[in-house]
Amino acid sequence: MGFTDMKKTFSQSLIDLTEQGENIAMVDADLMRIVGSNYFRDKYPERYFQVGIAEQDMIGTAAGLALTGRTVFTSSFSNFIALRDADQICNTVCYNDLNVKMCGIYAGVSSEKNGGTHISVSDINLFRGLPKMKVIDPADANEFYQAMCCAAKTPGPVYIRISKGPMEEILPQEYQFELGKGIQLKDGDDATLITTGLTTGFGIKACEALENKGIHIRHIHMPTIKPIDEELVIKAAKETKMIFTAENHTVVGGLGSAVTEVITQSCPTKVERMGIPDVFCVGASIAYLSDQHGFSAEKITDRIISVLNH
Amino acid sequence: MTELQKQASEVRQTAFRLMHDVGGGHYGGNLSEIEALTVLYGNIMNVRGEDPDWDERDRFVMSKGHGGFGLYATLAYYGFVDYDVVANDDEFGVMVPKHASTEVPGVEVCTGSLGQGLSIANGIALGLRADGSSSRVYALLGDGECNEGQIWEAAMTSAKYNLDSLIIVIDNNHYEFDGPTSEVMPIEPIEDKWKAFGWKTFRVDGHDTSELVEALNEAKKVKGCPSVVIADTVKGKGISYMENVTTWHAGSVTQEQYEQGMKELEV
Repeated sequence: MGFTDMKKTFSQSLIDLTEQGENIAMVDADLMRIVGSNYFRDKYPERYFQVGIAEQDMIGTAAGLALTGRTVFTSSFSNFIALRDADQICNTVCYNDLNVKMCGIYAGVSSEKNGGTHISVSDINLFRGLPKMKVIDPADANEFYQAMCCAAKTPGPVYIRISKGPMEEILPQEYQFELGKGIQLKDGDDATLITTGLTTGFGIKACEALENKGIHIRHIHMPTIKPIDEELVIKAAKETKMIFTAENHTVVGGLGSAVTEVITQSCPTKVERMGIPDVFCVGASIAYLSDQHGFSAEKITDRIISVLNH
Repeated sequence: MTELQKQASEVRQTAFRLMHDVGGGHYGGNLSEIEALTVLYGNIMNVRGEDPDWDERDRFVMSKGHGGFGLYATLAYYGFVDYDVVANDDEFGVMVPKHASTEVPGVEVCTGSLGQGLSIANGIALGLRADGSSSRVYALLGDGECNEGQIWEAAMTSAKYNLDSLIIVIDNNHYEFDGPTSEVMPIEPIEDKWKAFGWKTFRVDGHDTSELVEALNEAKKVKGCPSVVIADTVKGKGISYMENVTTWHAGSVTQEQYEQGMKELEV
């Protein structure tokens, strides 16, 4: 398994979509060199727009371009595109159901030593609450590429949160991303672990460690948090003893909450949510922060053992 | 009185009646914007009331979304929509929103949260230009709305991209929700601000349709930069008890006030 650069993946998806005949445009707010949109700009300069450090104008400009029939991608740090642009995305993009796609880069703890201002803890929470919005948290570059292509072909607003990368390739090569569908990576009947984005890699390692200890965990990767794969969640709730969730995001309103909402309505089961508690993160490595907040592979392993033994 | 000036008076009557019929509205800003809208829809813009989605139409963005009723009244006057469609609620009390909504034929985009329309207009203008379209893009902003930082972000973008197909009008009615703009957040020298941002500026009496027509026609000839027409207006224009009265930003009128208002607005 190798690691793939997220920047090149970002541009490659836009280039491929354009070559397939999609009417793509990109609006940047002075983070082109981090997002990686420069490769797209170099190939299709007439489809590329740069508004400077003006994230609100970025969303409005994208909305206008979408009104001329384009599928428009935008990007900023996930903490900024979610919070600074919340009004523009809600009242202009979502309310008008426009074909604007938001990419939040450096998601959660992948922003590492940038510190609390740049570590998004509540972007999933915010976007999940917006009518019309779809929310995707890909686990690797292959899935990110497919999510970008799917977002372009899905009418209306879509939010994709992207880890800083490069990201380890963890999903099977033949994996096909489908909006609103989770994927079972491993079967088991002691409990189910549901992960998304960065935590899916941690979850794979945790499930291997648990299997070696004789604990059989069903592992589900849930790339689309909205709309969530209700069927897969309910099936897991019925067939395994309890559900664990792990996410690179606050436990308030993210994946764990989305899973809990489904389960409490359809099949009440105990749910343990792992993720960033209701705090800001300090500036530190992914390894440190995921360990500190209890969603590293080791901490997921320990938590599952601890809960199941009680 | 010119034909266009007369039309503006009739649109103002329609707007006042409409706001009364639906139980109230943002009277102040809807009455101040009427001449600008009349001139745009009745003279300047290339639009077809009978075919609101005509591909080659000029686009209009109502950035001051709370001016929705003035826009609906204008669209009704020029045949985009029947008056009854915008004036009546349904059996559950649901009506077209006070803030400009695409539920009404001729409205390009829903607005309401201030400060966002200029960015949208930029995007439309960039897209149309890339498509080789000769359509122009117009937007109506409020002077209070220019408190919003996003307006100035967008003003830089319009100038950066030399958007000479973009012409905006500022309904400079000198009031915002909490009082005179000079007290709440001074905007003067408003013309210098837009000039400094790289715009061609015009300043007119916003209730004089001839001055508006002349400025907008000059703006159409501008090459290489966007244009702004600063239209000095009176908030609550035409209704004596509303003019320059802060509290008439929004509200509802009694039957007596309505009758007096309609009398004052008689052409």
